[in-house]
Amino acid sequence: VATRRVLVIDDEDDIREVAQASLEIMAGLDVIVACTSSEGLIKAETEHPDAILLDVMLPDLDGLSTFQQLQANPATRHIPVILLTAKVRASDHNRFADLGVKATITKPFKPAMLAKQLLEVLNWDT
Amino acid sequence: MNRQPTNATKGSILIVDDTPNNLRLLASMLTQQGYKVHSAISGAVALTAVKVVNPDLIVLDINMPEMDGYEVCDRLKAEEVTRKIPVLFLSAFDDVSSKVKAFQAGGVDYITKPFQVEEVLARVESQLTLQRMQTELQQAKTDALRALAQEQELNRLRSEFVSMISHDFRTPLTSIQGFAELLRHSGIELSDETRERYFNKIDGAIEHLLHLLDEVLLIGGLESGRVRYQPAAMDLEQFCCDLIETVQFSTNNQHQITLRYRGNGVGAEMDQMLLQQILANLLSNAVKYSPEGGQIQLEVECQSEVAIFRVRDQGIGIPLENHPHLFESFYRGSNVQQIKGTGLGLAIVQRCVAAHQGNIWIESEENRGTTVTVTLPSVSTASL
Repeated sequence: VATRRVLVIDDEDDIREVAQASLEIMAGLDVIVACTSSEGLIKAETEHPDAILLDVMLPDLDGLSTFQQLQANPATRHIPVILLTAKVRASDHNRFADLGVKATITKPFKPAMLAKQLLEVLNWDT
Repeated sequence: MNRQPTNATKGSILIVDDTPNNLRLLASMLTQQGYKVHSAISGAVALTAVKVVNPDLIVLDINMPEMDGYEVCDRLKAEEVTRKIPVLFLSAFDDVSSKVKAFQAGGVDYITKPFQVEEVLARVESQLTLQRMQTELQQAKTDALRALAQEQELNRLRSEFVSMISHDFRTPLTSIQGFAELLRHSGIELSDETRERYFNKIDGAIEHLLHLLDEVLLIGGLESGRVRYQPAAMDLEQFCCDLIETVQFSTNNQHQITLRYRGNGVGAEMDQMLLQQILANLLSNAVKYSPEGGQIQLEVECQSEVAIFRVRDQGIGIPLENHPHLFESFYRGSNVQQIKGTGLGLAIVQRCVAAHQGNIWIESEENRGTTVTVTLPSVSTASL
């Protein structure tokens, strides 16, 4: 079975590195990264990830608009999106869920928890 | 339209009556009491005069040829500019239907002729008092609504600020937590080089957090008034030399900062802590957004009452569409990419400049560089 691939889109170097190391080392996933929304949208279409971990606050286009663009594109519409956010209010999480995101993970996160949550949400076996 | 009785008098009154003797009697009586009085001999004259004299009250006769008092009142109430002027009817008609008709036309009171002087004066005074109270009430309502809108805007900004702080603290905290756990995780074999890099990342995130905390506390202090403008005599040129040395040291001497100083700054009175914040933030921004080895210039011109500071760089500049937001807390230019920053530097600078009652403006072009000019009084403004 081919290793599952996750695209991490976050403008913060450190967050990308922590997320990448967590998912590669602790969940055995193949991770590709993008630091802007536009780079993420291209990689989502060309690199065929199985899931996307998407930061809500991106400098060029915010995470929710990026999500909507992913949904609008037939080539990326099927890819489950998990949001990464510093917003902790339940109302924000509910709003994200209503929009159709698979799940929301709050910063700060522990690497092991990130890997575990992602696998659980996506129903992936390690 | 707000109506306030004329300052110098107890109020201005327009009397409308087609009988000259009545006009003279009423005018004399009201003038003696300190009112400014205008007279109109017919309804048509009254309708023209009212827009010129803008009275606080109109005393209006009913029985007049051509246009009676009811019609005059109807026309006054039909026009926006005259609608709110109270009309006190004065008439020889003593029947109920005349009185009712007068109130239906918009009159506020009704006096029958022949009248008693004391009664007319008491009713005029009463109507003017009511008018004043209504004006004050309206003003109070307007003030309260404005204060409420300001308070709502402040609350919105506060809430946004807290939300931004929360976000900006969570990012370095995520780094610290993440790298610490990756280091601790028993199943992971990390190379010495990776371990060292993770430790450095943790150190960097802690430093960033402390810096952010200092800046948030300073902004809070400036906005609440806890941090106050405290001017003291200083040697401005020496101050600038020392500051440049500090900034160059803290940025590992990767940029050349030169000082061009004109004027005599010995004895200039400024708040050194606030000035340090202004110049250190502007210089470190210039360093941060300039290519390695870039030239940065601090020009200072100290005149007798004002000091002009100019920080020039040839860095990445600021896109035009970002200019209106530069002094907002946590706002960062759209072209900063991976250059670290809190987005609080210019917000702090602007508040420190405001505390000095100074001015700041920014000229910048993307990929060409930025010049920030600050003017500050070089004498104390504490007593102004």
